[in-house]
Amino acid sequence: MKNAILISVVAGAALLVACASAPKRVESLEQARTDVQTLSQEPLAAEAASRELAAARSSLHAAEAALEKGDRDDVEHFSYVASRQAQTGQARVSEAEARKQVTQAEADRNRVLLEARTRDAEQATAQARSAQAEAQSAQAAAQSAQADAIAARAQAADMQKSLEELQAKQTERGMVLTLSDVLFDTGAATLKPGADLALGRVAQFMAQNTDTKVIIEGHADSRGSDSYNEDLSRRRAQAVRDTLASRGITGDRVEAIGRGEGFPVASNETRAGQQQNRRVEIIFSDQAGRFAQGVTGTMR
Amino acid sequence: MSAQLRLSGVIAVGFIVAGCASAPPRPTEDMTRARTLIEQAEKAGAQRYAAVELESARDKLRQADDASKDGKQEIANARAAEAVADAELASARATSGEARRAADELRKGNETLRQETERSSPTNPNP
Repeated sequence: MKNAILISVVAGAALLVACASAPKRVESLEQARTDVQTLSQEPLAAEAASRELAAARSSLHAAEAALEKGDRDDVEHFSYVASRQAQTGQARVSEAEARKQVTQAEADRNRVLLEARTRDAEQATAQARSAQAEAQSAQAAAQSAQADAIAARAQAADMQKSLEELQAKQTERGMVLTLSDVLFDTGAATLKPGADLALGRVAQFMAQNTDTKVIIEGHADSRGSDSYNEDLSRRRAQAVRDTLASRGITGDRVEAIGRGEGFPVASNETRAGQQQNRRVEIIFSDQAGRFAQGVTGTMR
Repeated sequence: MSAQLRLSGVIAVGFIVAGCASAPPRPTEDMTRARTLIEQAEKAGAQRYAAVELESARDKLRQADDASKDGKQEIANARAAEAVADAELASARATSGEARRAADELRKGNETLRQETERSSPTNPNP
């Protein structure tokens, strides 16, 4: 029986102890402690919520004091206020974070715009550079064309000089070399040895100026029939062509034509005039193979 | 001290007590403040960002009014102080909500801007 009494006393004491420690576990106070603790650990709290943190700490302090005094209503009241103040501080921290993000976003926006402008400017510079390069290249092309023209004129002048050395004459049909009657056997289409020297120089000239062409025209005086004269003049022209061919000047650069008696250069009334009319003319193209206006033949 | 004098003292005290009881309940400083802060919170957009806290502030202010009418000044003060804390929280949440919305909009705007400027970048042959 004594044991039973002892047990109930101990149990009662244990209950009393439990009751005494119970107020320490007021839920709203626990919440307030947690809220104040959370806010105090925010990195931005000192900057953005110092007033709210101080107020919340003060209220929490009042709640703890009320707990000591056993005033449950005040514990609830101050814990509630402390929690609200801490949460208000939390909202201020969140606002400050958002404002920093706004500042950052505005800086980002300016950076993006600046980058875009820089890109546009670089693009414009590149385009300007490319246009400049094109202009320079066009200028170079023009200079090169001018140089080509100068070279062509020089070549034409050289050719002219060479042809003059061949004793070709400048006429309105271009440069024309006349092989006189005395270089042919009388009434025949065979060349005398003296013609070899002149035709050798013509062949050499054409070998050096590879684009030049010649039209070889045979002419006769008024003696004899037209058909005879035409035939003879053609055969003489062909003889000249064959001689050039034997010296390596191919047929596509040489055309032989018999003109007969229709194109005299002197009077047929005198023997001297007749002799001048019996002739072979070699008409030279320019350095590009073009003949002057008025020259007839299948090559032009 | 005479019995008469003692009686007059009792009557005087009775008048004073009666006077206090019959005077209209004066709003406490915290109640006035709570009202002002609730209005500010409403203007800041608390209805949108912190409806629960705003309603709690209004509820606490009503409780403070009721307590004040019943002459329970201490309770009125406590509820008014809680209403103040609620209203301040509602205001702060509204302000931070607006700030976060502004930040989000700027971020989205930047994203659009970035896409647009990258679309017209020199990698595009026909800008």
